[in-house]
Amino acid sequence: MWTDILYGFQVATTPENLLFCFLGVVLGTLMGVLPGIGPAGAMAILLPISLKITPVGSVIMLAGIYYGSMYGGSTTSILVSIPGEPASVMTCVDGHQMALKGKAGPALGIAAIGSFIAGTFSVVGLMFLAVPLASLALKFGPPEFFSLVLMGLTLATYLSQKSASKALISALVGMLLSWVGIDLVNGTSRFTFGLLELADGVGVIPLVMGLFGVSEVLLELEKSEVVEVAKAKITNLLPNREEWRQSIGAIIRGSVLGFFLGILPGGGGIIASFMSYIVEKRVSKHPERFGTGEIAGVAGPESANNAAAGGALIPLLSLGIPMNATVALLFAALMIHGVRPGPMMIGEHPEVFWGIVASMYIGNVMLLVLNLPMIGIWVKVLKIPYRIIFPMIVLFCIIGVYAINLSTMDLYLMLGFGVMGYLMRKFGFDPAPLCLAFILGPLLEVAMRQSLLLSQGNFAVFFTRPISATCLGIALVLLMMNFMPFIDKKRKKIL
Amino acid sequence: MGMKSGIMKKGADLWTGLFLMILSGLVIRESFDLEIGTPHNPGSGFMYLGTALVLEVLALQQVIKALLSQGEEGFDKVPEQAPAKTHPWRIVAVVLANIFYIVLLEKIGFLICTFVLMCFLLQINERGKWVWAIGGAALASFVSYVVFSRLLQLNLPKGVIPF
Repeated sequence: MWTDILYGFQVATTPENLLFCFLGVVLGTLMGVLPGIGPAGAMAILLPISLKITPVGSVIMLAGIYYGSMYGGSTTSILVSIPGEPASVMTCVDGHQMALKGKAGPALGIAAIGSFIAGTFSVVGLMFLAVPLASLALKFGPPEFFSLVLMGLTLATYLSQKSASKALISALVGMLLSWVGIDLVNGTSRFTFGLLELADGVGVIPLVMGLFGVSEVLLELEKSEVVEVAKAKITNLLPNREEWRQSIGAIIRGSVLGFFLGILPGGGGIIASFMSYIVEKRVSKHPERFGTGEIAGVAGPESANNAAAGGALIPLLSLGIPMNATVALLFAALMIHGVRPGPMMIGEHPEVFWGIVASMYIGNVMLLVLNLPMIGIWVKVLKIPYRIIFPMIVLFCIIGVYAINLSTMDLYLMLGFGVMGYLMRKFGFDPAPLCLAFILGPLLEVAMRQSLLLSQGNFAVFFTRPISATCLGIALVLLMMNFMPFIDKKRKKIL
Repeated sequence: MGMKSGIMKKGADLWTGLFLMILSGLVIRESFDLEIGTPHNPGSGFMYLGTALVLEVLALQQVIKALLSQGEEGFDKVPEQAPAKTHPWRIVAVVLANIFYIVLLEKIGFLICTFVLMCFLLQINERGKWVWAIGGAALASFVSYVVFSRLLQLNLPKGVIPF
């Protein structure tokens, strides 16, 4: 393994890849700082740029955007009380209270240091868990993959912060969209409406940019709120001894909890930070202080969401299954470059896997440097009026989508998905399960068809193989729980 | 959440449920045309049929839930915080502007179309001085053209401008 890691560092430390890593973390922090653009939106907007660079450079940059946005999100939460990205919601609670009390410096400092520790911990975890999991996945056949994907989608809908049944509807619509185009098995056109542009199916980039880029713009445009940045001068970024004592436990607990929640389908930073906050409040000797500027309420959730970012890469890189919408974009980026994530990837493209792992170590150090001394720059970025930012987002989306196929049909699709994403959010539908199901849909269909062909049409194949049966059992239990009002109420209370 | 927003949500759930029922109904019908196949050899419509059937059931459940619930009771909490003042006309204007942009992009070219769109977008959110909007739009369209078309070699439509 150590040889592989050294190889990874050789790949990640080439001047070109160091530059991509730097660009990724800077852009990620920037997007995290700007309210309204989450990591999925940021990656969607910048995905087309990655088309022009090598697969390793592209994924290093996009991964940098992913974990960089987790760092950046805390700045906005603490100074403005608006989460820069959804996983920083809990940081608003105590972080902003600390800022109002003149302690913005230690709050920002502990958020950055906690993020660094958790980020590094999750990379170590990724390194040690991904390889054995990939070896195990090599033993999986189509029925296991079918059941695993189905379980992943069900769990993603169950963990949705909005209505679970609406999340399920969203996932089903995503699946229906994913099968549009010519059926590769028998050449039948499916829902193409005679349009040649749809023969290859709906593009993932117009869909993602529409759902996460354009719809965010439309939602923000509707509002007329002016962002107020905390005016207190930011000093003493390094926490004092007492603040360290209060935070270190929260950082460790947040890192472990976030990492394992990140691995779970549909998990990711949002749930990790929520759970971490709940845990910190429970273990605290003074739970009443939470909500009034308790530093553990910043350290725990911020560590958890960064650890989750690393954890979420494990199923992607070892099983080839993205477990949340943001990671699904990394999946799309790899696929565009002809690299198929999954158990074979570590053997076939070691430079990609070990390059990402090594770049994450480097990226975390870069982020610590970026977030502490450069905090003044991020505060200035926060003051840029939205009327200037949103036309730029629209422009990036247009160029990015058009550049892929030079097709105006893709632009229409992006706009259509933008309006769809806007309406979905308005009506309480979470667009993330749609995106995840859209990416996993073709995998699900192929696995289903192959399983039925192998078993000569016997559906029992899904229930007679232990791994497949276990996954389906979990999926079934989760589905049933969605429709039990008592459990659903509890779920909503927690999420 | 007040009673008024609860009733509005009820209406929204009812209409989205009905829309989804019609949509899944159409997909079910189309999946038969696509050929369902057999479990031995699933056809192109096999997965569509299964998925659309589940969607139909869930949409029906949403409609029934909306019809049976009273006001806000039984509904999810409103997901977004309702802003004090909203500007829905901006959404319509931006969408229409983008449609015009897409229609004209390949005919007139990236530079001119982007300049006009940027002018419009820079003015729509908060009316400022036109001179700033024009300057900003010119800068954004020119810089993006140089970066993406010249440096990154992306084929952006030239249209009426021959360079």
